[in-house]
Amino acid sequence: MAHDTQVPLEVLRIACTSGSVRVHAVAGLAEVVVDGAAIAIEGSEATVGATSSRLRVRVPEGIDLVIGTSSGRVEVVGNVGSVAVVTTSGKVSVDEALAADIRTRSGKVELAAVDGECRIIAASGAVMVGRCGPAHVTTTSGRITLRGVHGAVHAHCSSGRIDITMATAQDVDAETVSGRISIAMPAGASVRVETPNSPPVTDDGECDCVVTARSGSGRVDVT
Amino acid sequence: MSAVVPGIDTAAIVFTDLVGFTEYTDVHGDRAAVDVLDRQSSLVQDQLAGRGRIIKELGDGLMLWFGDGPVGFTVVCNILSSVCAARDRNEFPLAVRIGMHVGEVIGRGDDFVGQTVNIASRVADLAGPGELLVTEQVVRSLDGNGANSAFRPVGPTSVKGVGAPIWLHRLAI
Repeated sequence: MAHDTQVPLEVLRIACTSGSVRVHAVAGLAEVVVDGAAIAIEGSEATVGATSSRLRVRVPEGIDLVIGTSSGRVEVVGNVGSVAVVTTSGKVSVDEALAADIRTRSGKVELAAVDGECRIIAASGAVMVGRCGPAHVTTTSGRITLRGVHGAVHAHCSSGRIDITMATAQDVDAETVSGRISIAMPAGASVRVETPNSPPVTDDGECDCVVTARSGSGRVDVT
Repeated sequence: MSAVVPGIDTAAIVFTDLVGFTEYTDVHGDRAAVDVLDRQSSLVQDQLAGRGRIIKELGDGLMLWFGDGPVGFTVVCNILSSVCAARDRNEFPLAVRIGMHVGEVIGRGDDFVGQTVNIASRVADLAGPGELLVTEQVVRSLDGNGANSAFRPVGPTSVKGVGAPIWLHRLAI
């Protein structure tokens, strides 16, 4: 089912009762093409409601996505605008987005590249981000791995390792109750490190950023 | 404090939760945990100021009731701000996460029951540290108050027994 509209679509909302969702952003495509579900368009916003077990959608590049499914994998292929996903279980993967807000109870989260803010809340399941701007990541029991971060980071994990590689010197606040914390800052960055065992800071001095790292039972490495 | 009116009424229901409370208790002990709960109650009561009430405590969380959605939203924003400010001053150790929904509720003694309560609870489950998540119904109740631009879409979720998806929004702060 395809829809042409006079008003360019800016947002696609997908509500899926269960099953996997695959959205493919295609360069040059001017319409949203949905296999297996109805689409409702109002102004610049389209909504797809589906109960099918496999929803496949093709969209123009750069469109904003808001997706929810009770269970099943959510896969976003290609280059999109902001992407927001809520799912109970199932892996969430995104190729490239301007911003991301991902919430899952038990699925793994893999974001290849997010230009702007990256917000991830996962109960269990590992989080892996290849590149992003400011990051707010919370997991209950999944490992957090952030690479190429060019914004401030807040990472909280109840039990699991936190591994962060910063692309630019920005503040990092990382906390895990049980697990190792590894933070790599860019070469030459002037960093003030605050850990539970570090001496109190009496002179702020000149520094590019502050790294605050707390692990209840694991080692903390800032390099 | 408003009295609970028996029967069906429209209200805003809010659930709060302290992120990492169990781990905090493990590390700092029961006495410190009780102090945190007392401090949370104090921060919330200061903001309620008779405009809503605490229905019950649920472990480290609270269930709140407001007779008016927009008023409740304002109070909840103030609760979030006051907890964040207390954290910044190192006067409160944990972040709070909050979920809010408006709809019909049924009073049962001093409590409320119904899908509005279930939905608000589910919304809070999906919130992150320092976040306020609300349903689309809350956003609509604020129409005309200039608050819509303050929200970012989060996505739809489902609640058992509720056929339609519940669309969520995050207060951007």
